[in-house]
Formats: sequence, C-alpha cells, structure tokens
Amino acid sequence: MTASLRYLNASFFSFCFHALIFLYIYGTFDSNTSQTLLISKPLMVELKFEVDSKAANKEMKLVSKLYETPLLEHQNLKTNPSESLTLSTSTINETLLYSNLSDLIEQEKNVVLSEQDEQIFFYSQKIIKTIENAWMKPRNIPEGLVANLRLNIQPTGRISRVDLLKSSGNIRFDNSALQAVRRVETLNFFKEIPDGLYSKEFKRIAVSFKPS
Amino acid sequence: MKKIAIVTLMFLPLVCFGELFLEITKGSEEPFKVAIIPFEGSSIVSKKLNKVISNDLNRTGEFALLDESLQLPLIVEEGEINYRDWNLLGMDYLVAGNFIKTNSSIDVNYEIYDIRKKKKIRSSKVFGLPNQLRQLAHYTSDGIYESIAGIKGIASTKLLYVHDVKSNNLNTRYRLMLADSDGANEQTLLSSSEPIISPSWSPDGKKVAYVSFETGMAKVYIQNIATGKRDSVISKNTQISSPSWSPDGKYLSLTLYQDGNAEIYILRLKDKTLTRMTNQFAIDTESSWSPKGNKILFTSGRSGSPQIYELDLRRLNAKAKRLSFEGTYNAKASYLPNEEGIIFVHRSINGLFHIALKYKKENFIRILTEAKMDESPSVAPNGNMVIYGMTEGDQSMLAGFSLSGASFKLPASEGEVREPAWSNFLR
Repeated sequence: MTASLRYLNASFFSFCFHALIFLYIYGTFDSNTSQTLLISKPLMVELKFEVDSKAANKEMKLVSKLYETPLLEHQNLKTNPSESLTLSTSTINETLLYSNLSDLIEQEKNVVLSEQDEQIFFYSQKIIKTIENAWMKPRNIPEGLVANLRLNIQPTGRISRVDLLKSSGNIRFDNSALQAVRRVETLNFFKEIPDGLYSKEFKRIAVSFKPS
Repeated sequence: MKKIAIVTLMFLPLVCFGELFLEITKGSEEPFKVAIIPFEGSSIVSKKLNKVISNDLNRTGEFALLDESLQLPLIVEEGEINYRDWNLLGMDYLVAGNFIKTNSSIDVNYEIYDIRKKKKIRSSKVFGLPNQLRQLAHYTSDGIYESIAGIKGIASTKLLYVHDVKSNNLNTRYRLMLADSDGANEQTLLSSSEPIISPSWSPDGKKVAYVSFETGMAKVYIQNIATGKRDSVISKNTQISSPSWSPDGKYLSLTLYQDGNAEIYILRLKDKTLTRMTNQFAIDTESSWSPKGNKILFTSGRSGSPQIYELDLRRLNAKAKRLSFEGTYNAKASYLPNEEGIIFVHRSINGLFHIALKYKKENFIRILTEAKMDESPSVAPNGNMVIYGMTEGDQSMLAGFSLSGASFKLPASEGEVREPAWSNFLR
C-alpha cells in the first residue's frame, strides 16, 4: 500500500514538474511573450512574407509623398488653430483626415504588398520553370524522395553557392538535383528584379526537389 | 550553455525556412542529347575513338547521341559554333576534339559545349601510349559523363569474370579473365583445369581473390594482377568459398565449412586471424561488405528458404536482420554505393531468376531484368550500372543495365561466361 502511494506521489510530482516545464515553454510565466502562441507554423508563415519595420517605414514615407496635398491641408489647418470658428470643424476634419489617411496608407500598403506578392510569385514561378527545365529526374528511384537545396544567388542571377540542406538518401536523386542547379548556373531574369525585393526574398532561396 | 544550444537547435529549422521556399515537382526523364563530332585526325583512329566513346555513353542510359549518319564532319572551333543550329537539332551538348598520334604517344584533346548556355563547359586532355587508344577513349567518356551527369563515370573501370571453354576431349578449361568495362581488352589471369568461382576485387584494384578447386577442395586465393603472384589465404583442411574484400582492404569475409555447415567468417589479412560472424544450423554464405565497411550482407537459409540478411559489425553479438521477404529465393546481394538499397538475385513466382533492387525505405522489390536465368549481379562503383551473368538459350554471357534504363550484352565468342565482378574506380 505504502509502495503504491509512493508511486502515486512520485507520478504526481513528475506530472507537476513536467507541466511546469511545458508551461514555461508555452510562455505562461513570461508576460512579454504571453501573446505569442506555440512555436509552430504560424511563425514560419509570418517570417516568410513579413515586412520588416524599416521597409514599412519607407512605404509610409512613400505613401505620404503620394498624398502630399491632403497632408499639406492638414498642416495648414494645424498652423491656423487660432481661428476659433474653424476650430471645431478643423478638429472634425483632422480626425476625418486622419482616419482617411491611415485607411489610405493601409490600402496603399496592401496594394504595395500584394503587388510585391505578385512579383514574388511571378519570379518564383520563373525560377521553378528554369530549374524544372534543367532537371533530369533519374529513373528507378524510390517514391517519395525529397531533397532540399539552398541557393545563394547574386544580383546578376548567378548561383554562387549551392548547399544540400536535406539529402533524400538516394545518391542519384541528390546528384540529379545538384546537377540541375549546376546546369542552370545563371538565372538571367534576375536583373529585372527590383533591388529591394532581391535582397529581401531572392538572395537566398530554398528549393525542394519533390517529384509528384 | 547546453540549454542555449538546444534552444538554438530548436529554432534553426525555422530560421532556415524563413527564406523563400520553392518546390520543384517536374523533371525531364529524357536523356541528355549529345552530339559527338568525329575527332580530327586520321580517320581510322578517329572512327575507333568515336565508336568506343559512343558505346560507353550509350551504355549509361543517360545520353541520347545524335545519329552519326546525320552528322557532317564539321570543324569546330570556339566562337565558330553555330549554337542556334545545334539548338534547332535539339541538342543539349556538343563534344568535339582532336588527337595527335606520334610513334611514342597519343594525345586526345576534347571540348564539351553547352548548347543552351552557349559556352564551353569543359576542355580536357588525356594522353598515353599509342596502344592505349581504348583506354584513352574510356577516359574521354568518363570526362564527358562527369561534366554532363555530374558523377564519376565508370568507363575506365575493369571487370573480372570466369570463362569456361569446353575443348574437344570434353575437358573444360576454366579461365579467370580481366577486361575493360565494355568487355574488350581481355586478359587471362589464371587458367585451370579445375573450376574457378567467385572472383572478387580488392578495393585498390591491384589484387583479386577467388575460389579455385585445383587442390580438389574449394580454396580461396589472392592474386596480384601485375605480378601474377598468388597465395592461398588460409591453409585449413576445410572448404572455403565466396571471398569478399572489406572497403579498407584489410579484411576478407569468407564462408567456411568447418563447423558442419557454411558459416561466415572474417579474416584479418595482416595476421590471418579468423572471426566467426554467424552461428546457425542453416547455411550462411555469399557475404558482401557495405561501402562504409560497417555491415555485411549475406544469404542464409535459416528461414527455410534462401533470403538476404544484414549483420551490423559494429555491435557485439548483433542479430542478423532479414532484408528480403519477397518470394522463396533471394540471394547474392550487394549494396548500392550509398547503402540506399541492395541488388540481388530473386526467383519470381514463375520460377525464373531475375536481378532485383530493393530500396531501404521501400517494402517491395523492383525486378530489373527479364531473361530466364540471371545470376550474380555486381554493382558499378558509381551505383548507376549493374553487370550480371545471363543465360539465353544455351549460351551464358555477361549482360548489364543501367538504373537509368539502358541495357547491353557482352556475348562471348565461345564457351560460357559467368560471375562478373566490377572493380572500384581505378584512377
């Protein structure tokens, strides 16, 4: 009886201990990170297309330039706050303008973003096409092989470095993937990619060879 | 510190996949299209060179060569290549070269052009004695193969096999033969009136081990190819067979019959110490080493029928792991160079023997040949080709295939040819 009680106690402690560890990892004790969820896929997705703060600022500036006129008006209003009659209207205008502006900024950001997404998609497709054209898939290989490579690409489109991130375990398959990239050597259309986009998305790409 | 390391390790994959991730799902299964322009120089030598190179490349199954009859004897110099025309012909690569033959030497220069990229991707030179033309052609083929396919070629490797010729008085001569990878340049290493079986290469390609019945019993001999000097490996009064060299060349795995039935032993060549590896009432034989030298494959009858087992040599008293479960006969297995799978003889339901491939991660086998009696496959060092003995009608001969789909035969002018063994890379 005592023995089983001991076991019960031990298991209870063990449970608590592990629960603590789990909660610690989950972030319950950390007030700052309490908002972040489990370390998993969402983070990956965000990382992929997240606009870092600098770029966002730039866009803000861009947008503000575009909407110079309303901004000027807004400044005018601000510089003449002494006029009591227009004060109330100006505040209304101000708030209106602000809401309009932020909306517009938001919209513009979205447009820029989706445009960027489109571009990323467009160039990604181009890269995929080029590599697919150069890839000679070996015959008589097991099904479900996946090999992941990382390419470092120069602004000229020259693939300066290839790393095998994950081997498929099949020497012929891995080699065919590496050879496909070697055959491509230079992605000629890279010159068309805007600088900002290049350094953000296309400088280093991961490529997965996954025959379907 | 350790904690930090673990946390970093946990996050590493996330960081890796932060970048753009593209998926390639479609690839061509068409072979590379290559045009070889006849080498400049005397036309007889040129034809011979061309023939050997085309044969080498065709056997790999990864190239489709432009039909020679279509080709014009164009003189190719860089800057003058009409890439557009070659592109219209559908070519991926173009090979051109020349050779200079003098009384004391022969030099072969060749260049490979990538038609799509419109540039030269390789320019090489091989040279040798005038009687080494075939060898030079093989080197050239390997150079072409390597720059286009990306892995080392095996045209310049060698083959060992046994040739049995019946003479008029019904006595058979057994000969151990050495030849180029295309079966040419045959050389007799040993001729005997008693059977010779199971030839095996040393990893450096300088020695061979084989079983000879010259003393009336099966005994394993090691012979130096260059000097012809030969020695029996152990002087035990028992039958010894199926030698196989470890990849480092220090050990020889053997089958000994001293315990009442066949068991696998490993012999350390330095001091001739024997270690017993299997202990079973059933027959254990036909051992072969993994490329890393940490495992051996063998055939065992312990389940009631011959099946393939794998033994881990790093572990003490390791239990052999059964690898083949298909059918009632699987034997004579050897590993692919990356241990990604094994090649072996499989008896199908209709009683025919075929060469089969089983990948480590798959639970089914792939039958790769279709003759009636295919035996003793041996894998080329780059893992892309397999040579085996095949019986067609009454004739047995060597045949081979590449995993990329090509197949070829090397018929003997007379007699029977069997048990081929593919050497390691020799350069």
